[in-house]
Amino acid sequence: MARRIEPGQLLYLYCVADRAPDLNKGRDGSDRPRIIPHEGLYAVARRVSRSDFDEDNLKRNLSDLAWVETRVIAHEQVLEAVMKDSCMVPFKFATLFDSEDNLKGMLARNAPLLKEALENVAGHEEWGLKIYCDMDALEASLRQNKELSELDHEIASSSPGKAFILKRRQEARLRQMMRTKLNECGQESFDRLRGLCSRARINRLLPKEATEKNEDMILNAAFLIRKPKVRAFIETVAWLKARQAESGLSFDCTGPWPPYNFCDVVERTADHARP
Amino acid sequence: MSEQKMMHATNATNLADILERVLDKGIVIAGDIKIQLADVDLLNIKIRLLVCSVDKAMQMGINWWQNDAYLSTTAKDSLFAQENAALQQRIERLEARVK
Repeated sequence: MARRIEPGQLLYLYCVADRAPDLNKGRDGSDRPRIIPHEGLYAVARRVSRSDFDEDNLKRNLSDLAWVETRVIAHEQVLEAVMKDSCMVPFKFATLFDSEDNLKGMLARNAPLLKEALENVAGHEEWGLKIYCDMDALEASLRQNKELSELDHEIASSSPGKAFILKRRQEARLRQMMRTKLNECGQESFDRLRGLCSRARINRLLPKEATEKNEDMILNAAFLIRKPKVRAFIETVAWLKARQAESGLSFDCTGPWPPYNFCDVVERTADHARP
Repeated sequence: MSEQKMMHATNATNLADILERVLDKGIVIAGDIKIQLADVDLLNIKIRLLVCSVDKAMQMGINWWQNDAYLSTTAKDSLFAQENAALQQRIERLEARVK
């Protein structure tokens, strides 16, 4: 196999691992990922076509959702294969090099940083938790609350004027209860799970257009968990979920993921859990 | 909830999760890299492709625990609209009585 990349190609870097993963299982052809070792670091990269990934072509291709999805899924699949054998630091989508020498140069210059990043995630798994809320269901469950249903009776037996004022008060109280419920659920879930983890972070909420769900996302968090603690983490999620049954809240727990959220060595001080 | 059930597979049901991580996360290193999309908010590309609601994502994403996500502008507007309609009806009733 040619070690040099050809003029029409670029080298796409997926991740850097602490030992050489076995990537040959179930794969063939020249486009399979290759391992480029350098002083105890193992870069996993694939030759890609300039017509796909050269700067101008990439900009054009990024506006094509089908193109993006195919490449993003391929990226994740390579990382998942590496994760089976090795500890690794994932690189951002479309990290490209002109030549193998350039890639090795990057490894050499950033070796201490990459080794530190690898040590930080060694023996850990990344898990994600998203909490969604069906606002109508939450509203319906809160309307059965004693305070609000007592107001219902009072409204029914009041003059129109008084009933109007009471109705307004009831609505305001309901909105307030909904806010409290969502904040408590998000906060409690995050705090309890964070206690089991080495690191945790809250990511921005994604709109329905991105999640393609009917419910609103109310928490988007990622956790870096020592492998022996993963079971406790999963059990805690199940416990939180059971507590919130029938209130319109749903928990979407996924993992193990490559440690996408926890390799920000440079920006580690900016890591935010909560102000 | 079994452990097995929560394991992710690279399938369509997790596409949003995969897109979020691969496009938005991962290490970025400056240097002699040919191209790296450090400055491009790739996740927003996906969102922009579908609907232009990036502002809403930003708005909802900032400090959710302080942010009143539910009482967004539209929710407030609809509350005002309901209140307005109720007041109108009440005025009509009162006017009818005066006549």
